[in-house]
Amino acid sequence: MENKKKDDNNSRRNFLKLGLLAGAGTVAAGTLLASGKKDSGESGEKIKVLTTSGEVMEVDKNFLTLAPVGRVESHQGIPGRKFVMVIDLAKCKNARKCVEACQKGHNLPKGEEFMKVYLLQDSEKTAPYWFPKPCYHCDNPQCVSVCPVGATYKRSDGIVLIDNERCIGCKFCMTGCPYSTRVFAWKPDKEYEINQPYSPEKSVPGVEGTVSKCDFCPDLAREGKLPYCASACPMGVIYFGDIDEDVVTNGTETFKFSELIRDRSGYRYLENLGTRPNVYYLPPVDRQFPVERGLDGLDEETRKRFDNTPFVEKLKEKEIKK
Amino acid sequence: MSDIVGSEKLLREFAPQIERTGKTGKLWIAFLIVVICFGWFALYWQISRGHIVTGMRDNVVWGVYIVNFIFFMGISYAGALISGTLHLFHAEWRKPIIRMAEFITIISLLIGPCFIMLCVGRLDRLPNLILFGRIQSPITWDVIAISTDIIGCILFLYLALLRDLGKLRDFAELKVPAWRKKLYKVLALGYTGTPEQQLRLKKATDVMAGMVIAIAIIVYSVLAWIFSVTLQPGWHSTIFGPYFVIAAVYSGTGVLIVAMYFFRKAYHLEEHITLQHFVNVGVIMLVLGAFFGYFTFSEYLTKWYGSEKNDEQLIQVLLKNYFYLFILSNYVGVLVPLIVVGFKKFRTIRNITIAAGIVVIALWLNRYLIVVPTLETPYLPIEDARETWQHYSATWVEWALTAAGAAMFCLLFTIGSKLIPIVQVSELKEEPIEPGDIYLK
Amino acid sequence: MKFNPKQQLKKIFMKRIQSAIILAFLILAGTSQVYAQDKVDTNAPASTVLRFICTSTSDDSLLLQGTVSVKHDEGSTNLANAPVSFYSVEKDGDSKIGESKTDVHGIAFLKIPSRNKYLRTDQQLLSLKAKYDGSAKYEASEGEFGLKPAKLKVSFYEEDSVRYVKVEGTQLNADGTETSIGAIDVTVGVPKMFSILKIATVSLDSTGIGTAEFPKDIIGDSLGNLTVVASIEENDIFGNVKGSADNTWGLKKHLISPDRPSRELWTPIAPLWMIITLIIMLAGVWGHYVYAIVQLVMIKKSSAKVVKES
Repeated sequence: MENKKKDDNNSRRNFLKLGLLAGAGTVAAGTLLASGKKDSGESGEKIKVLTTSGEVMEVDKNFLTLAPVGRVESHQGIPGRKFVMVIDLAKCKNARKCVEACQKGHNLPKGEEFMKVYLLQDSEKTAPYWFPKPCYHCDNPQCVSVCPVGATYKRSDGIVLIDNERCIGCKFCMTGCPYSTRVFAWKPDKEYEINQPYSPEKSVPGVEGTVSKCDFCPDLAREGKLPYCASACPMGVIYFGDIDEDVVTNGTETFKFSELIRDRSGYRYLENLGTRPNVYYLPPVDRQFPVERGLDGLDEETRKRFDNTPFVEKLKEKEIKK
Repeated sequence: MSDIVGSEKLLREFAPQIERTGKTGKLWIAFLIVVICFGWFALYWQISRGHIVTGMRDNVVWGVYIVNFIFFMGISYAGALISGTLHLFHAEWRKPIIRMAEFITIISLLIGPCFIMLCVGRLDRLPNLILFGRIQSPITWDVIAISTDIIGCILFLYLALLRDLGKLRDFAELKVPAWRKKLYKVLALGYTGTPEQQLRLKKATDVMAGMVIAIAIIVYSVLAWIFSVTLQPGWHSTIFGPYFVIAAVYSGTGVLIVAMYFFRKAYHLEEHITLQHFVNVGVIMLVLGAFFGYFTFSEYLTKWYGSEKNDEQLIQVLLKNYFYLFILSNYVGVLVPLIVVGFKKFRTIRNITIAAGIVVIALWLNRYLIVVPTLETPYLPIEDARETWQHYSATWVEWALTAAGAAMFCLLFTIGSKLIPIVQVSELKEEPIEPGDIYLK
Repeated sequence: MKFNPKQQLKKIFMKRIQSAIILAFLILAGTSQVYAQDKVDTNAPASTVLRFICTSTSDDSLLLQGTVSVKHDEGSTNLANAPVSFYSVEKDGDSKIGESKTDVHGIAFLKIPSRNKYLRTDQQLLSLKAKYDGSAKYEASEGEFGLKPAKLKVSFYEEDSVRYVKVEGTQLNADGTETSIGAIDVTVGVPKMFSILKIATVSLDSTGIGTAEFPKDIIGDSLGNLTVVASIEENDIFGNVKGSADNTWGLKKHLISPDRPSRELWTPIAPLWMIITLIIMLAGVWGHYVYAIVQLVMIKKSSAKVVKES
């Protein structure tokens, strides 16, 4: 019974995560079909989707959970909700699972990242820290103000979305955002060639010559699931929830948002710009491990990114002195 | 200053320009067409392979195309402002050069927006700007402003041209193909110089001259506000509106002087465009240059003196990576014209033209230094391993299209001068003080 | 033709070389195919894992959940549309309780009444098993779970203007009687959009009753209604038990953020002053254009008049 207990313990933890597994395409949790034969419940109409292992497979249309929300409907927010994210900088160690899960979930080419992780150091004597940065879905979004065609819009649930069928690619929103959040599709990537109806809530498939960004995964929220980044983080750094409900969770721990911010002294980045972001940060107090840990295990190109930061330069100096 | 000659004489003098093109002219046009074809190829390259073939990446999203756009729009306002202001001041000496100024306005207004279109990711969705335009966006203001401006400047040019068109229509000795004669007839609108017609023309031109000045200022300020309403550290400046307007007119006078020089040489206009014209426009350039230097100095002094981190970072990048360009654009570009035109000793046609050429280059660099370094120093540091994503450097596609734009400018100018005499052939007389008085044919 | 021994040797040699090359090629092709097959794995069925958990729910039933997942290189993925059979482990083999197919999330559900006739072990636990029989592509797997059916009752009361939540735990014995559960920790929470917010941990005393103060600042729906869920998780004897009840002690949920203004820089409709300014400016400018054009038209008209007169 003991072994079974442990198994079930893990099973419970995984059970919560099973439903939140990062999965490409619209098949919930990337399930596979046990039988290939036509069964009751199958409509016979197949749609091509990507599984978590990167294979393209055909799934019966009825196995898709919710149909992707259309462009007009995507202007309406999920009723009665206003989303907020809390990121715990004390726990982030640059595992980059959030980045990868988001890229997989949104079919992004390798160089494009909706969630970015920076190595920041506020001043010479203050401690450096890893800084995951999604889109902040500001309450005073500069990007939305400057869009000439209304391709980007803010909904009632606080989420700022982009309609890539209307975007003309003028990139004004990219200069309007002070947090360097938005990315541009500079070339026609093969990841964009998915046979799937376009929905601004999924930001999939990407469109060449248009702008895209983190969308807080409203398609997952409609199913009661956390965004890809929040589910994928091994340290539970990213908390997500409804600010009006005053609850945020990272999949395993649930807190009252107001208490979390009060007790851990949460703050918003570049508050003085007045953009009123909806992502709060918990300062890196009582860090669980040293910052250098975040540089381990990275591939060459990712490691090179941080070469110009003062922290890495100091590390190099120490190495040379040795 | 040339005397006001009998209109027939002027027409006879300029008829050859319009009637035929010499060998050098043909070679010149051929060369321009080659450059433009290369530009078309670069455009095809960009459209088929995506914007990745340019140097722009996620941080520096606006590069050489936008710089060209601002530059060409800037030149256009110079033409409008100069011809408009000189008209309202009844400056007699403006007559030989006013046509050139108006041409510069129209042509650069046609070319400038083309560069914006090169920068846009989805050209097939341009109609969205009109169908779904949001009036809170500075780009919508710009679209409205530029369309208004183009119409206004064409109207103004046309009003100024009307009398010349009438002359060309009536000049029986003109040896041009029949379609051109018909063209002149249609465009001349039956203007015969009756007192009533003259009065109407005067009223319309006065109104449009005033309008053109107002529009030039508004439109270029709107362009400046596209930058200054964003939160970017180098752009969020309160003086961008007037700064850009001054810089625009400054660059325009430079281009005007260069154009004067080349047309004077090509069409042997030594009698009509004299040193005095160069000096007069040069003085305008000097005054504007002083203002430009003042605005630039004020801008950078404020940024440098205050201790704000982002301003500091920007100044550092400017002085470290762009040092020589910075000196050329903001020091040489201001001091050289000041010295050349300021001291009587240096005032020769060639010197002034060289100074004007330096002004043009310096101002293009000034726009580049406004657009690109700010985007290279955002609030969040650029942590990217790819070199092209950290620093912007324009690729051959962008340079090819820039050259094509300049070539198109020259080409349209040349063709325009073939259709219509580059110097105004109809007379100007001092305008009487009473509005009731009219001037003679 | 002369019989040249050298030539013949050469021929044999060439033949040998040729066959060696062909053999080598075949070997290479064969092995690569074998390796490829390993990767594609079309013949060998993939191994699966069946996680089986049971929960006692407040409507006197047991919810059996079997989740089938397939292991592969990058982790595991759930299997949809897989038939899972549920059994009770009896003395003389397994007696089938029921069967259901896993849904799109890979979970198969089956609900059975708590009061049932299935065999209990010495400790009065039901011994249940779930089996996935496998298919050509996937291996079979099974999982076991043992639990004693129990029930949690949630109720609320107020005393001296302090609000309390009361939890009563009872267990269902083999003979159909209900007795109380003692010395167990029960988590009391309020389900929210993505998870359950824990509001108290209650210890059941020897009579199976536990109380805790109900917090004042839980936000409910727009009318203040709350659903409160009490649960025992992964207990050795009782497995999982859930019970719930509703109350109206929640704060009314309203948009903490201000009501969305209708005219801002970032709204679909522009602020009024912007629209008015734009109209005035456009009218002013284009009005002048119209004036100039009218003058031109009059010029044209007057020329026609002159022509007529002359």
